[in-house]
Amino acid sequence: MPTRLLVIDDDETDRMAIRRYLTRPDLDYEIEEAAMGGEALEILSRENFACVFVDYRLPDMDGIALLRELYDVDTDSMPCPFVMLTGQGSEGVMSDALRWGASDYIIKDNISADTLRIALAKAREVFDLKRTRLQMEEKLRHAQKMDAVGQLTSGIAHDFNNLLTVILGNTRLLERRLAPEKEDIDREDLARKVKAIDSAARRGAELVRHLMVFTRQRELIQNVTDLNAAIEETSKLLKRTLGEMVDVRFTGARGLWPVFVDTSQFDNAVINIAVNARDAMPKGGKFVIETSNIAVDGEYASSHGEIAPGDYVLVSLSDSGTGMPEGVRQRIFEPFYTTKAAGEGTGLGLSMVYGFIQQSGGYVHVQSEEGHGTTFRIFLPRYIAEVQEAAPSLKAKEVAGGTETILVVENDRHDRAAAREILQGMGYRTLEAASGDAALKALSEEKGAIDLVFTDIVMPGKVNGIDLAKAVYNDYPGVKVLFASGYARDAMPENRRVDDRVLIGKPYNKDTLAAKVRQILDERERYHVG
Amino acid sequence: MSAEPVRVLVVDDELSVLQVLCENLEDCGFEVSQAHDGEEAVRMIEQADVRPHVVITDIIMPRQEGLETITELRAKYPDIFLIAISGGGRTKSADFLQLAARVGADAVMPKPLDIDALEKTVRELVS
Repeated sequence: MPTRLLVIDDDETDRMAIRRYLTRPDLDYEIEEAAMGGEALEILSRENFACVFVDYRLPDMDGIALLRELYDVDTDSMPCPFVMLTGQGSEGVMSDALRWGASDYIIKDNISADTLRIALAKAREVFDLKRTRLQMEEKLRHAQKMDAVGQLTSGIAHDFNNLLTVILGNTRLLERRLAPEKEDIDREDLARKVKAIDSAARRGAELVRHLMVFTRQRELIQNVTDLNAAIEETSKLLKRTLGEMVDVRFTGARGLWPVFVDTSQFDNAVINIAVNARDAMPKGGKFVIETSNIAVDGEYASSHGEIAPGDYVLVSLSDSGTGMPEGVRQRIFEPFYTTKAAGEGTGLGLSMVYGFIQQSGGYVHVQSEEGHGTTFRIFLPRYIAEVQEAAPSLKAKEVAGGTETILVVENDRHDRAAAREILQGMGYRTLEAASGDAALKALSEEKGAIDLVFTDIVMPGKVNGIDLAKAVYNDYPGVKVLFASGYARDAMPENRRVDDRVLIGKPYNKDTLAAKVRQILDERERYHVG
Repeated sequence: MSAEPVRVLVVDDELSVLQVLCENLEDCGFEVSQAHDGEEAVRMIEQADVRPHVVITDIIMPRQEGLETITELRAKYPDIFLIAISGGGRTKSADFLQLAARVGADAVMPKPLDIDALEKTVRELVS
């Protein structure tokens, strides 16, 4: 099998030189060439190479831009080793190249058979080492998780064995007390035993549920959730659970964004944090829950660890308790880490909170100061309904806007405002007219300034959309026309007189309108209106 | 054995377990007392007019841990029979129970407990 290489350089002489250097009877290289970055990306999307040599200066993009096209987030996902070819004295480019994922570089003046082969060998080794390290890290993460699961399972086993002891012990008691030779049956006593069995079994079921969430064997039951409503309910329970010594307060932000979480797991998380708060306030104190909407930008994200930029609902839970030392704070989410006496806490509560938040795509930050209490900040991603989600993905296609002037002719005030918003949003200058007559007036006043007339077909008054278009075509040679119609094409006789290419159906969305406008403005000819 | 009832002290921090064990052992005709942790158990034995014949103790408990309790009782009261029970914890229950046997437990039993087996063990030890 020959070793496949790709050389990306717009200079054919340079490509030939590299090919010549690497062609020797004892070397088995198969060399593919690309002159442009775009072409190279095309080739890289369908073929694999042992190494790629890329010139920093390409006509359509620089070498670093090309590298960055190849991975989503970090350089760990580079498909193969890259060697950057740079000019003399461009140290900045070299260090950038390495930072953005190149494995090595060669200064173009120094290209020779030896430098190429050394760079090739070095780049491949660096790349392999990096890949191996990533695989090892992944294995380690997995091992750590398995370790945590192992600890968790044995802890759950302990609780389970206790519950089973209670169940079996009570069934044994029932058996004896219901024995045929027994004459006096104490119904109340029997009922107590049955109740004890029942509650032990239920605790067991709850334990399984927690365990499954933690080990991800049970999917969360996620719903679109209003956290204010959820917390409102839970805080009633908290007031009872935390006792009279703890003042529970809840302030929910108005217009709180919805989130997509397992509501009962969220409740559990709040209760867990609250119970820890109570234990940190042996003499009583305040437990305050607050919600707010927060848009996390890059700056905030980089100063807060692993959180990704985006819209979140923030739930902060603060107590006025004893706080905790840094060493404890760092470990509170570890399964089985507990500062409580054996038997008082499993050390599982907060690790389950952590598991839940992670599974919900959220983050949690804990701030604590000894003597000044602890604050948990839970960030849960804002839920955006599917329909709304579709819009940004369309936008990603980059519908081009423009700076031309568009006259919007529409008798409906709301439709007119909507069209104006969209077009101005795309960079166009807009003028408005509420009727065909008004439009004709505007055209004569703004002589030469209007590039496109965007008009409804059906309008009250003497001049409808078709009449307006005819006048435009006669009197204003350079001006284009786009029609809007709220009726199906065949439902209106007028519609049939209009070419499909200059008609947009109502309601339209931003992207279809923008695309249509751009297309018509860019076309040389105008379409006949009949 | 005389007609004197067998006295059993049960030590467990989990209330529901403690209750159900005590009630079962009473049903078996034993004279049962209970303690919630090792410290309480040791104190009860020290202050009691009549010592229990058998102490049944859980291993993972707050304050005084089961293994310590077994070690202490074994040293102070060589004539009391000790049964260690455990449902495991950070490690398998077998590991705890092995340790318990090594520090002087006369019998070890994993949870969930088989009540009949427990009764049998108590009777065998005191006979």
